[in-house]
Amino acid sequence: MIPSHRLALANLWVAVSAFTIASAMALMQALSRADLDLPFRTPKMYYLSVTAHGVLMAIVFTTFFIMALGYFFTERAFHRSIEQRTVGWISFGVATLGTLMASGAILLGKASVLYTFYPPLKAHPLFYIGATLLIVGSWGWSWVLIRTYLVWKRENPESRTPLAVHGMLATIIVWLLATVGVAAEALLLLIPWSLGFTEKIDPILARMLFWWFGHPLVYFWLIPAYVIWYTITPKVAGGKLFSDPLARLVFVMFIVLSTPVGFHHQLMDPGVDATWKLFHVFNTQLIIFPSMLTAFTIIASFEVAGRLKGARGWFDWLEKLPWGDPAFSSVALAMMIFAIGGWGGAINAAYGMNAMVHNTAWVQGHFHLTVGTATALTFMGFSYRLMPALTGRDLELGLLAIIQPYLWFMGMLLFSISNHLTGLQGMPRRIYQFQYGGSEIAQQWLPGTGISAVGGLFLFGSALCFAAVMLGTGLAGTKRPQKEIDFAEPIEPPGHKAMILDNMKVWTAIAIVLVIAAYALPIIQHLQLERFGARGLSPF
Amino acid sequence: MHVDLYERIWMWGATAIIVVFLISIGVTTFSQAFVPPSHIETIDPDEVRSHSEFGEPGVTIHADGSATVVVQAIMYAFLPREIHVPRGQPVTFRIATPDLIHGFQIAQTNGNAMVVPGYVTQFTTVFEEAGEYLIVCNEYCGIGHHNMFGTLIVEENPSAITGAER
Amino acid sequence: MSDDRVESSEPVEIGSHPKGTLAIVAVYGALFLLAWLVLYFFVFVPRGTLTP
Repeated sequence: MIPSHRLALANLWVAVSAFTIASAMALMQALSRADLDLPFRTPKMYYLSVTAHGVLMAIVFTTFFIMALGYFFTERAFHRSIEQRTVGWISFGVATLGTLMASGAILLGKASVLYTFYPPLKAHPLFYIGATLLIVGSWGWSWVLIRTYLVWKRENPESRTPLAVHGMLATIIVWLLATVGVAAEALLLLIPWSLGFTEKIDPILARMLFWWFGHPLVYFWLIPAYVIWYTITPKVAGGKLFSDPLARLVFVMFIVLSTPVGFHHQLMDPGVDATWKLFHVFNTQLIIFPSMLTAFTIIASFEVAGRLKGARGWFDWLEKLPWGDPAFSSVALAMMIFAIGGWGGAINAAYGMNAMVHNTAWVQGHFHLTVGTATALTFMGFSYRLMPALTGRDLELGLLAIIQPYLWFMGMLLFSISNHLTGLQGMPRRIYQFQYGGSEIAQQWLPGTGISAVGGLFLFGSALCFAAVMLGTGLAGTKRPQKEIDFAEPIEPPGHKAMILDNMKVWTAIAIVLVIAAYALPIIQHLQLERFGARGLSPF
Repeated sequence: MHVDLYERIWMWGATAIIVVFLISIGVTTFSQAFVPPSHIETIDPDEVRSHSEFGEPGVTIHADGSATVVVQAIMYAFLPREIHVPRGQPVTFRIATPDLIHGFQIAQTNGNAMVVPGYVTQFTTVFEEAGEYLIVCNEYCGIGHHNMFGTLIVEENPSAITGAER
Repeated sequence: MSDDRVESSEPVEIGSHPKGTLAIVAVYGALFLLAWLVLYFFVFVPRGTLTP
């Protein structure tokens, strides 16, 4: 095992562990949807489990998996070791320590503030400090990869950046721009307040800083999944990447547009001017474009694969694709799900239309399609390649790996479509139960919540399959040399056309200008208000 | 940069879709038909309970038939617990909270707004159908969150409302 | 050498344009737009306006 593989593997194990614990938490929520009367199902346990599920899935699983992916892709693409491996290990230690602190606070019932942790809901200081350490750790990871890229660039000034690295750099730039917001929220507002140094906190300022981070966060989840779609899946399908420069264009568009969009999460907030909301909505709608482009390029790559295997008709190439290979089916199914997720997102961010769905069950239906499937299912499918490659062990329990993506797909359709519908019927998200004094309207939600509970059981089954395959492979797989993971070749090599797409300095500069345009004035205006602040409360 | 003809066609198609969305958003916005609740007014959360306006939540019917509803959102109720408003008239909600962030959502309508300590939430809407509506808190506010709800009754006959509140 | 030749001739071998892909995304794009507009006109608009 080359040393860096050990670093990537360590990150992968934390990701898998977080995923497994979070899945168990999800079971609790599925049972709550079915309104089953179980002894451990109490409001306290429910809100604790929602918090643990959200933090462990959306923050811990994703971040650690992406860190593993970043190390692996960078070394594989450059054919060289990463620079400053020690910094990588220290970052891993810091991030893991932070995760343990935050999870400990949550599991002890001291931080049931959900993964959005909006003040004046007040968690134990360990929660905020732990979350901050996780982010600091991810900065160390970012530094290692940027450093490795710069060293490579100096030695290969004329070469095209490998596409996988281009995508990971886009991920890192988006992440660094985004985490400025949450770091400011944690260091300036939350930590001093939770430690008792300050008495009051301004919830709207905190929400502005949180969503500065919170929406680019979703592209931090999505871009690495796209990197897998563009650089791995066409090869797995047996074909070639349809267009290399358009893939680069997509990553660049994400760098530029990911961050100046956060107010579309605050469309229903008081204290934020409607004009600024509109500006963020405009940017958000533009970001549909790179995903539409991705849909075409990836499907066309699959078509190429089918045609290389002899398909000639309109759709017979679909039959030629390796549907029995979970590394392929996971992505194909993730894309189908994301087709719906993108549509829902275009509604969430459609300014006034947000009032129809804001904070309803629709929202959880939505993001389980996006981060919960487009990202998570892609990551799971790629894990069936990554774990063997990192450990040098055979994939075990292959049958479970084959059915896992299909179980997830079915479960997510049931879970998510029903949540979209009950959301439109007015059901709020994140509620322990929904009697509402026997309201007739609340009764209408029952069929939908029942279906979502069944979906949840499918998902839990799928998650168990994934965990079993990971444990079986990682701990008990037969040790022998594994086939290397190869990147997909583009049909047409990028050559030296559109080199500007590789110039991260330019795109980062444009992105910074847009972030300033989107946030500087609103925050300055906000600070002019007579703000009273709110005292912390911990009713959980 | 070579782009396949079909992909080029799709790029125009995707652009057209986004333009349609932006036009729809633009029309609702600039016709002033829909403005998301974005009222800017601050209030000290510690004074909400004794505040001259929010300390006495209730409904006021104005001479022109429109109504103002003052609501106090607390853990875990909306005060007043039952709100009566006239049908077909502009109804302005003014909401404040002394404690945590809450959501104020009139289920199955577009009446949906965050209620944030330190700020006054305000929006105006018209109810075209008489009947009973469910108001739910849609932002997690602690262990009793799912018990936080209220009732809105849209009255056909406005005279039924006068003096019914406070 | 031979690799280059294969790569340049490939788009011809697979048919010059991805017609299946265009069909799929066109249908998807139409449904995407239509379903959005249906929600806009038949759910959102009837649910009433909000003004300041």
